[in-house]
Amino acid sequence: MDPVILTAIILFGSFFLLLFIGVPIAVSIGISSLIAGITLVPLDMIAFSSAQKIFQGINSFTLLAVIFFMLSGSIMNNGGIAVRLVNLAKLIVGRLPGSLDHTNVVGNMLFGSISGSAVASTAAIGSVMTPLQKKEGYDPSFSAAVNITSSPSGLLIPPTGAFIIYSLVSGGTSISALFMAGYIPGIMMGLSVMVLVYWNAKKKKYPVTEWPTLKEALKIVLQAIPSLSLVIVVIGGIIGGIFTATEGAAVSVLYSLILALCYRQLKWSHISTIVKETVVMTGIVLFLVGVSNIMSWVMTYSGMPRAITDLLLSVSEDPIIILLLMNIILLVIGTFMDITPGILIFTPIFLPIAMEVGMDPVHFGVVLVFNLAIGVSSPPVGSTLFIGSSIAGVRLESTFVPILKIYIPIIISLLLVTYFPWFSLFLPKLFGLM
Amino acid sequence: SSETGGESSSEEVKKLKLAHNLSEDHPIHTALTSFAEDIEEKTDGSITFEIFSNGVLGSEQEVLEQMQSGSVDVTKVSAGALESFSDDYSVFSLPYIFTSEEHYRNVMESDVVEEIYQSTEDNNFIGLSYFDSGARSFYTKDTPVETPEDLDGLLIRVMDSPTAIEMIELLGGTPTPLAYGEVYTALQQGVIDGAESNPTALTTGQHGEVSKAFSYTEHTNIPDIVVIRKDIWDSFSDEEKQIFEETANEARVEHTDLWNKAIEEAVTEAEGMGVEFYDVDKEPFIELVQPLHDKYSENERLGELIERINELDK
Amino acid sequence: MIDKIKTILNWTILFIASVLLAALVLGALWQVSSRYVLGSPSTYTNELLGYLLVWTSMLGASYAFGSNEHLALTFMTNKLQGKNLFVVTVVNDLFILAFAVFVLLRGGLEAVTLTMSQTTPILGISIGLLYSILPISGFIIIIYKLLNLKDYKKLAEKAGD
Ligand code: NA
Ligand code: NA
Repeated sequence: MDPVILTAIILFGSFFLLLFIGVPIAVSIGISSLIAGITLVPLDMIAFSSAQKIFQGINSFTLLAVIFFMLSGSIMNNGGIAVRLVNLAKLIVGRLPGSLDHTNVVGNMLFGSISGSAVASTAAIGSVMTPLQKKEGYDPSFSAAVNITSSPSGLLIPPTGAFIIYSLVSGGTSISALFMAGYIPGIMMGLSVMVLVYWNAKKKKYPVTEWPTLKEALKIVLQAIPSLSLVIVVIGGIIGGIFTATEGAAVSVLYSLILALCYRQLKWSHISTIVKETVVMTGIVLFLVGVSNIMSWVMTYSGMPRAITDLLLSVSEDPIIILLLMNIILLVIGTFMDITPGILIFTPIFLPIAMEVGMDPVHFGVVLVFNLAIGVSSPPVGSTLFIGSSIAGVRLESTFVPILKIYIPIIISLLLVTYFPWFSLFLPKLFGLM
Repeated sequence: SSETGGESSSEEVKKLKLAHNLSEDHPIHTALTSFAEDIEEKTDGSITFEIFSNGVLGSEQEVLEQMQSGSVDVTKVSAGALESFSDDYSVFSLPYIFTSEEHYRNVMESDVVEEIYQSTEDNNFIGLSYFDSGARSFYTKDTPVETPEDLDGLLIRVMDSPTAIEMIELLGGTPTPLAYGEVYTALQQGVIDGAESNPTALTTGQHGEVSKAFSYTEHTNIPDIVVIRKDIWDSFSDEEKQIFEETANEARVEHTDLWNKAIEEAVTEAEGMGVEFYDVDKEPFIELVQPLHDKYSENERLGELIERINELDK
Repeated sequence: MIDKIKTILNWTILFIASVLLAALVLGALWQVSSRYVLGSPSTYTNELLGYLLVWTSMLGASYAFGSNEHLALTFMTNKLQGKNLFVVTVVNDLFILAFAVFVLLRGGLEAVTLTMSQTTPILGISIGLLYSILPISGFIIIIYKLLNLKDYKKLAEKAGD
C-alpha cells in the first residue's frame, strides 16, 4: 500500500476512535499523530517534533490577543459593562426577532475584524452575550452555534493576518487588493448566520423587545457610551496606527478594568474568578492550537497534501468540478487544521491548479480563507467550536445540529463567492487595486 | 539517534528531506531544485531528495532543531538564524563588514567561512555552501534616508537581532522589533516609519504599496547558508562529498544569476508602484557603526574572524 | 492527605500562572507606552511575551488535566455505566498518561537537551530552559493522574454493584 495512504488511515482512524471513546480532543490529536508519526520516523524524533510543535505553535505574539480578549471579556462580564452594551444593542436591533443572537453576529463581525482572530472574538463577544442570552431564555446551544459560526467572518473582514500570510505564500498577491476583496464575502458570511437566526427566532417565537420611551433610550445610550468607547479606543488605536492588534487587545484589558473599577461592581472574589477562568480557558485552547500543529506536521511530512492534489486532478479537469472538489477538500481538511498551517500548506498546491482553470490569485485567496474560516468552527474539532461551547457552558455535541443548519446559508455564500468572482473582485477593481 | 549511514552505501538509496522557507517561484527554490536533481543524476539515483518549500515544516529555527533531532537532512537558512547555535555566524550581521561585492565573494569562498561552516558540528549539522541574499537597505514611508541624520527619531523595524538593534541605535534611529508579517500593516498605519531589507521586500512583501522611498545604504549583506546534517555528511563517500560540494557551488552560481535578475525586476516593478530609489553616500554610515566593530573585536574569537575577513579585502 | 496535596498543587499552579498573566498584560502595555512615553520602543517584549504565553498556557493546560476540564466528545461515555464506564475511564486516562510520558516528558526532555546551549536572539535566555515547561507539564499531569487514582475506587465499587 502507498505509505501516504497508510499514514492517512492510521492518523484519521486512530483519531476518530480516540474521540469516540471520549479521550480529550487535544490528547486524541496528539496520540493519533504520534502513532501515525511512528510510521514515518523513529519514536524519538516524532516525540521531539511533537514537543517542539506544541511549544512553537503557542509561542506567537499574535496569539497573545487571544488571552487578552478572554481576559477583557471576563472583566466586562463581571464588571457591569456587558449589560450596558447589550442594552444598547437591544435598542438597535430589538425589533428584529432573535435580537440578542443578531447582536452576537454583528459584534463578532466587528471584534473579529479588528482582532483578526476568530478565537479571541468568540471569547470576547461570547462571554458578554452568553449570560444575557440565557437570561432572556434563548436556546443556549443555538446561541453558542451562532457565536461559533459568525466569529470566523472576521478572518475575511480586514485587516486580517490570514491575507498577509496568503500574500507571502502566493508570491506577492497585493495585500491591499486582498483586503478590499475580503469585505463583501466576510459580510456575506455574517449575514448568512443572521438568516438562520431570523428563521430560528420566528420558529421559536422569540419575543420582540418593546420600543423604550425616548427618555429611556437616551439613558441607555449615555450609559453605553463609556463601554462603546472601548471599541472606539481599540479600533481607533489600531487603525490610527497607535498600536498593533495584539497591543490593542492589551489596551482593552486595561480599559475594561478601569471601567469596571469605576462602576464599582468588581469585588476581590471576582478577580480570582476572572484570573482562574482566563488561565484555564487559555490553557485549554492554546494547548489545542499547539497540539494541532503536530497533526499538520505529520500530514505535511508524509506528503499527504501532494497525494490529495494528484487524486484531485485524476478525477476531473472540468473547472466547475475542480473548484467544487477543492472546496470539499478544503472544508474537510480545514476541519482538522488551523487556518495558518492550512494557508501555508494549500496555497502552493491549489493556487497553480486554480490559476490553470482561470481563477485570479486574489479571488482564490478569498475562497481559500473562506473555506478554512468555516473549518475553524466546524465539528468535531475547531478552535471557535471549543471556545464557544465552553464559554456558553453547553456540551460540545449539542451545538453540532444548529451549526450544521447555519452552514446551509454559509455554504451557499461560499459557492456564490467561488463561482462568481464579482463578489471578491468588485471592490478591489473599484479602488483601482487590480 | 539515527543510523541513516548504513554499511554499503552503493546499494541503499538515501532519501534526504530538504526544507526551506521560500515560495516555489523564488530563485532559491529553483536553485535548490536543480541542486537536488543534479545530485540524483550524478549519484545514479542513490541519493534522492524530497523538497519541502514555503516553511511548511516550521520556521528556520524549528527546522534547525529538527535537523538536530534527525527528521530533516538538508536546509537553507539565513546566517542570522545560525547565530543562536554558533557565535561565529554573527560576523555576517555586522554592518559594512564587506566593503565591496568582490570582498564579499572573496570571503564567502575563503577558508574563514569554511571554518565557520564547521562551528556547528556539535549541533549535528554543518554548513555546506551559501546563496546570496542581497544587500539590505532602509526603506521609509516617504522621506529618504540619505544621511544618518534622516534616521533621527524614526521607528525602524528590525529583525530579532541584537546587532541590528545596536546598529540602528548607533545611526540615530529607534529600533522596533516586529514580526515580518506585521510589517506591512505597521508601515501602512504608521506604527513604524521604515524597515530594512533588499528591494524584493517592496514587491513580494508588497511593502512598496506603503513605503515610497528606498535608500541604497546597503548596510548589511547577510548570506543564506545551506546546512546539512553532520552524521549524513560523515556517512558519504569521498566521491559523494565531492559531488555535493561541486553541485552546491553550481547551484550557487545559478542562483546568483536568477537573484540579480529578480532584484532588477523588483526595482522596476517597485518603480511602477511609485517607489523612488536613492543613492547614498555610505561614508558617514560606516563611521557611525565603527563602535560595533570595536565591540565585536573585543571578543577574541570574533576579533580573529573579523581581522581575517578584513585581510581578504584586496 | 491526597486532597491536601492536590489543593496545594492547584493553588501553586494557579498562583504562578496568575503572576505570568499579569506580566503578559503589563508587558504588552509596556510595549505600547515605551514607544510613546519614552520614545524608545522596548526591544525585548516581543520576544519575551511569546515565551511567557507558552508557560502560562502550559500551566493552564496542566491544571485543566487535573480538573478534567479538557474538551472531549462525551456522547458515548455518557451512555456508559458500571464496569464499562470504569474500563473506558481507565483507558482514557492511560492515553492521557501516554501523551504526558511520550510527548511532554520524553519529547520535551529531548527538546531541552538539544537546545540547552542555544540562546534566544534578544534576551540571550537558554532555549532549552524555556522548553523545560514541557517536561514540567508532563510531570504535573502524571502527578494529577496518580492523585486521581482514588476516584477509581469509587468507580470500581459502583462497577461491582
Ligand atoms: Na479581520
Ligand atoms: Na474545524
